[in-house]
Amino acid sequence: MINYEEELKKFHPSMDVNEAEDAIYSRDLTDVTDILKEMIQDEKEKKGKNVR
Amino acid sequence: MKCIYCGAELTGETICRNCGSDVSIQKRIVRISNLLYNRGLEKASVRDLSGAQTLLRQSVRFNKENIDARNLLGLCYFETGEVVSALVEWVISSNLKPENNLARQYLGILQSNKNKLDVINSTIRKYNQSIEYCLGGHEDMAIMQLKKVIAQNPKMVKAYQLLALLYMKYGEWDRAGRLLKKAAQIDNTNTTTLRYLTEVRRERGRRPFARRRSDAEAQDDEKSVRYLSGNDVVIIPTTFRDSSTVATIINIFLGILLGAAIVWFLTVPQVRQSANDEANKSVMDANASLATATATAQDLQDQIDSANQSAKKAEKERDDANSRIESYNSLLSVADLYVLGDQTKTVEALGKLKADDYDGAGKTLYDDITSQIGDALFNQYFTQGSQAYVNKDYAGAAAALQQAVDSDKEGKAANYKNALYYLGFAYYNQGDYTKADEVFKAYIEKYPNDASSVQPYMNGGASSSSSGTGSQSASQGEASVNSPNSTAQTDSSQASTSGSSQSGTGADAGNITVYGNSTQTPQVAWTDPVTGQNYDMYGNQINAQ
Repeated sequence: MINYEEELKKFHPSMDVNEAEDAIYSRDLTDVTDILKEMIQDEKEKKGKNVR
Repeated sequence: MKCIYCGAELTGETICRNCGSDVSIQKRIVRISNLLYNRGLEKASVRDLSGAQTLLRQSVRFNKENIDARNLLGLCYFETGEVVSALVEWVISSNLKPENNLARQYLGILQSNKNKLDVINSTIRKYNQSIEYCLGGHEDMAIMQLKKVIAQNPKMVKAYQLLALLYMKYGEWDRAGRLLKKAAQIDNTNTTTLRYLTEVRRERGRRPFARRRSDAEAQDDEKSVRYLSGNDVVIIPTTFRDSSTVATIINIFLGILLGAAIVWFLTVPQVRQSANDEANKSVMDANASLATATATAQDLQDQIDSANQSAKKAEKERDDANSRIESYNSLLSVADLYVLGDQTKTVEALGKLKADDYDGAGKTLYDDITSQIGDALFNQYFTQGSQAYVNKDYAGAAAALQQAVDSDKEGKAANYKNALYYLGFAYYNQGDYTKADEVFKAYIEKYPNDASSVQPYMNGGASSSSSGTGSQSASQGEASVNSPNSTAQTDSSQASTSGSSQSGTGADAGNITVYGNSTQTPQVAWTDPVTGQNYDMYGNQINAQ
């Protein structure tokens, strides 16, 4: 059985065209490759500290 | 693809050629992204847009530079009415890859149609307002707004879903079902749509046909009036129905009459009008076709006439050209004769040419030959005429002397005066006084000092007759001719009137020298520049003495 009130909460206002610019700038474009790069960088830094 | 360690361009190998790092993990990530893109593409092709969106979002999460996946994700958003989300994806895509990117085309199409973009933006605002209405408890307002949204943007799945939810709230399951089916046609695996559809089908299944029929009956019952009469329930229908056979027949008859009247007054005039219009149109079309055909025939006739005129003109031009060719051939023949030194034939041939036939270089050639040969031509005719005159062949003399006079229009030849003089007497001796008078008049005009030599013979010798010469007047005009054979030859009439002034004048004016057997030494008229040979004025070779 569908509860109208509960279902209504699932509907959110859509972005209009004026908000598109903000959406573009605020979009997190980090992908798995970036995460991999970050991990490699962290690993390098750790190794550098251990060497010192 | 670039190496994540050094940024160098990678090849097909799993090791970077620049830094030697193992890039197999990076390549695996890219492969996973491509795999997700392929699956998303498959789902999008069967309109499983929700599933496609999920996979494509994952694909760009693995590799944000997977441009195809991002563009397809935007396209899926656009297809479900999420235009702004689509714009966001396409803008990011075009920034990641500025050139040769399909996203730029999509953005260009949207930006070029500003009105369409405004309409989409307006529908988004109305949708957002509908949500506010729903939250505020104004569902009726929300329904109105959502209907407008769907009319303006029929791909907005969320609007269908919200409107269906509102209908479901009010128990209008059929309407909700129809809306959800439309939403499912756009995106056939949207979980919200499917969930609502399941609910609608379940609710419809709870209402069997019998129940629905009883509901209808209940409605009918509400229209009737019931009351209890003792233990019996009396039901009075709101409408009276007469179901007798006669009434049925009358109703049928009236119905037929009404139908016939409708057909007669409404349909028949319309059909007639339509038939008349079609006939008029056919006549107008036929007239137009006839006029067109007539105009075409006239045009063709004009073309034929024009072509005939052109053909005639061309034939005339051809004849003129042939005539000119013949004239020029004749002129060239004359020139050839002149070059060969045969002046006699040159003169004969030149006499047959007309000066008007030539222009330009041809005219110059004709004039040159004529000026060179002109005197010879005159002398030839003059000699012929004088010989004929000596032989008393006055007709031949008149013809030849006339030609001599005609060949020297300006009268420049040395013997022109004699030619004119003897021409007059040649006509005179033939009895053609009219022509003789014409020649004598010309003689007097040109040589007024010698007018007395011919005046007595004018008007048929009337003046001579009056002076008493009598019947011999016809022969008084005969001139003495100095020929090589008879240098002082005189005819009988001249001898008979030797003492008269006319005789003396004639002798004075008419000394004719005929070359040929003459003992006189001919004068050199022309010297061949090649051979150095001299020729007289008749083209006869002169032997050097």
